[in-house]
Amino acid sequence: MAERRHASGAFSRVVAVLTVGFLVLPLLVVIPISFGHSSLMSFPPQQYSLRWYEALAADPSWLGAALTSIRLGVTVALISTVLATITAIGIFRYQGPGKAAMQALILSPLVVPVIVIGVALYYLFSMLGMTGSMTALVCAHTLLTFPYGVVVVNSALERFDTRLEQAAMSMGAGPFATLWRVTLPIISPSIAVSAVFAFLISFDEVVMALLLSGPETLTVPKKMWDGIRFDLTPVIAAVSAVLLVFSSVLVAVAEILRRRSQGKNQR
Amino acid sequence: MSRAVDLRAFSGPLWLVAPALLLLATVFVGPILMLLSRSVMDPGFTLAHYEQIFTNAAYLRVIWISFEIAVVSTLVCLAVGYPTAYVLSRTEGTLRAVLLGLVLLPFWTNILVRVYAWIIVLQTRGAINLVLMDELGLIAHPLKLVFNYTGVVIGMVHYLLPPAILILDAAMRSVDQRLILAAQSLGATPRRAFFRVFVPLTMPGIQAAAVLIFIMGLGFFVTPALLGGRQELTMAMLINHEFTELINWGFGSALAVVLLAITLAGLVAYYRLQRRAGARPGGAHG
Amino acid sequence: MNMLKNAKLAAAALAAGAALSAVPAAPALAQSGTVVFAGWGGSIQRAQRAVFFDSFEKETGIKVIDVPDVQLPKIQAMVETGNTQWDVVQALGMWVPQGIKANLWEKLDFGVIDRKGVPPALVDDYSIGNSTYGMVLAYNTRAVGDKPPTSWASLWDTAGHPGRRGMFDGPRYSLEAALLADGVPPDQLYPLDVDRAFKSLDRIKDDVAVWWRQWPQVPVLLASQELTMSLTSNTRITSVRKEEGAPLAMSWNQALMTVDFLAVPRNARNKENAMKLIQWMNDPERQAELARMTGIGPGNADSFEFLSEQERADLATYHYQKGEMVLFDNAWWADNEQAMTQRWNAWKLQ
Repeated sequence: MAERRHASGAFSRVVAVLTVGFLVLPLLVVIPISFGHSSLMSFPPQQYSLRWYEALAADPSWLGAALTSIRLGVTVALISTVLATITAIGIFRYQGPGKAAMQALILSPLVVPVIVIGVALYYLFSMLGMTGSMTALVCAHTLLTFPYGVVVVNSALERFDTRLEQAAMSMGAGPFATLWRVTLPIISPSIAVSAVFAFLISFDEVVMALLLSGPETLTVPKKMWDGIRFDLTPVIAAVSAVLLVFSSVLVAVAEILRRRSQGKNQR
Repeated sequence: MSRAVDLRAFSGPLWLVAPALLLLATVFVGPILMLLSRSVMDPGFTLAHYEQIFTNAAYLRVIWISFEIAVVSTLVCLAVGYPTAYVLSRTEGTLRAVLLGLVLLPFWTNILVRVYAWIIVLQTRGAINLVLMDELGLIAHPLKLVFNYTGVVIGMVHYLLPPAILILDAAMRSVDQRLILAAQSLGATPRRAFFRVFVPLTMPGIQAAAVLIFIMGLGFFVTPALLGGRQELTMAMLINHEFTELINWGFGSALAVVLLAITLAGLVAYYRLQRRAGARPGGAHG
Repeated sequence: MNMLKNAKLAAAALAAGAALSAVPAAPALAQSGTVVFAGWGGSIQRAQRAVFFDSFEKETGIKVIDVPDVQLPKIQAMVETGNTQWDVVQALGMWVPQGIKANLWEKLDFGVIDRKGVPPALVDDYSIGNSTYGMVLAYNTRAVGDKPPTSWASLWDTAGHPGRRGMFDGPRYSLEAALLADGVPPDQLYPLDVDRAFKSLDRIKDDVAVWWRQWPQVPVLLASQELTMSLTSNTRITSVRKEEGAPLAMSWNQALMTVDFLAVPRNARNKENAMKLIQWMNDPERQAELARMTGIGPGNADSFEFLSEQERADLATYHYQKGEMVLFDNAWWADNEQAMTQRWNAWKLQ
């Protein structure tokens, strides 16, 4: 409404611009630093080169970490998304007692501080002699990501027009066939979105990686943490720049998928 | 409801939820209960760890620091986030999509990238100090902006702003515009209408944002660990230290339980607030 | 239908990814195994990779995975939970007796490891001395101008030697520096007068700009003038000066002489490979090369014949023999470290 653009509007707009700048500009700083030549990270760099990207490409431990993170992320995305989808469908239709309690339980990994979950799992897996294993990381990351997936799929189910299911069933399709050929395809963009989210969250996850990863399951965030604490060379800036681009692309993909699913809002 | 009738034939939905419940039991509830038991069984039943936490000044200080940093960050987020959310809530279409994308960009960036970027920007010969000292000549000595309290707050606000803005934006967009128009038609200036009608109507959103980001801030580990100084030791950092570096698992468990208890207390407060305001929970943090 | 295609594409992508995940990691490639080395990270570990690990991999085909942040409590946690993930660790001197008490070490295999050139005082059943360091007072030459610090007392003298100071966030070396700055003669340093040390630390507590926790941070902080002066290890400074030409210098006066050892945690998974790696790192010529690159003193005395007079001058052993340095007392610290750490943590928060 046009009348709202008055004095408080101007003040708000100034604050908003400054805030958005605050949110975005520091991130962009890593890009020129990554192209700077000196290892002492002066800003702005006095000399430019691709030195750090070359070092990154030539370092097998970073490539190994990237591969580990990707393997972990894809495994987590797969398990988490399947789990989230069937859980969302199961909960969504359930109308009986205890529904609210179950929903709260399913969402609770999102509100408990990560460090608490982290040390609990560290304790558990230490007792089992499994710290440093891929299994431990997969369990931890699946726990953290599937609640997001449940939320995303749940909102797709809420928008879903059940008359389509009724139509299919009235034409003789059984419940499984209906689920597989009508419901799932229509909510599939949301399922894909939750898969992308799960991958991205796992790929970027730090605390579990610190507590549960071992020398043979080094993830990119664990290596970055070690780098920031122990090394501080601009190789970290190069990694950061790569990650910035990588997550932006993934988020753009997720956004496109999300829009497709909105478009499927059949009233 | 025809939906329920048709699909209950489908199959008991509860078995679909069983795998998730199994995962939660074994990898979430179970281990946390293990922590709880470890905190009081070391080896026999003992409350010594909790006693230590609540009587030793050093540990009380850590709890206090965690609170203080979370409160300060929350207040800054609200102060800065409210006008930003207001502007965002008044936009539509492409502009809105672009603004949302910018606000969410840090949200989707790896936290270590964010922290590293702040170290570069805030350090003694970092971007800010260089501009202020060399380019503009405004100050003679560099400002101490990182590896201290300031650095931690800057880092935490940077992390907590996007969710705060999103919650506030959602609350603002659900305010019925006609109420504002009604106020104005009754003679209120736009300014009065804003402060005496609009802002109070967004109060549930403000409360939701405040409590949620406060809770998030309480559990922070990475940001204070990398951006803080000698005194910026939070509960999460201490828990990590006790567990992985000192292997005091009993004591570390007790600390974790305390942090968990404070978080749950905060959540209970949040739900009470939401219920009192009559707002629908769940929409904001979905 | 479009949505079916989406679903199918997504499913295909996920399936491909799952297949990728099913491919086991590196060990499936033809290897004679791996060995995991835990050390101090940063420039030291990068130099170790250049001098030791890469050549070891080439010679034996055994892959070396090196990780930073070696800490005794982590070793203890690993051994006690039956999950030893590290095969060779670079241990502080005081960790050897502490580890022996807690039964954390494997006996070294001296059939594989040749102890001949290493001074007998630096070898026992469980560990072998590998490198020597000097804990020095380092500074940025541009920042201090014409008044460089000369001793720990300079670090305490904020008026005479202004500038941002850095100190290690822990009692180790800090207590010694505090006492030496307070005027305690080096030969009367041990046993440490702890109360006097903390009183001395109180005097500069608020003037320390960064209480750093990780050793590799320091040269970067000094070079960027985030810090003017700081306690650090001589090798960090030598490395950065050589690699980057940074304007850094150090004072050897009253520096603390320390020795690092190599040891094998109990129940290490790759014990045999661990012994081989230790012997590789014990080679005098390679230790000399490391010394040339980084100023890390060799544990194997046979290395000195490969070093020129000038190269030896960069090393802690040289300055120790000249009488400039103070020997760090591992035995005292083995007994007192826990108490000191607790007291430090309490003192820190005041």
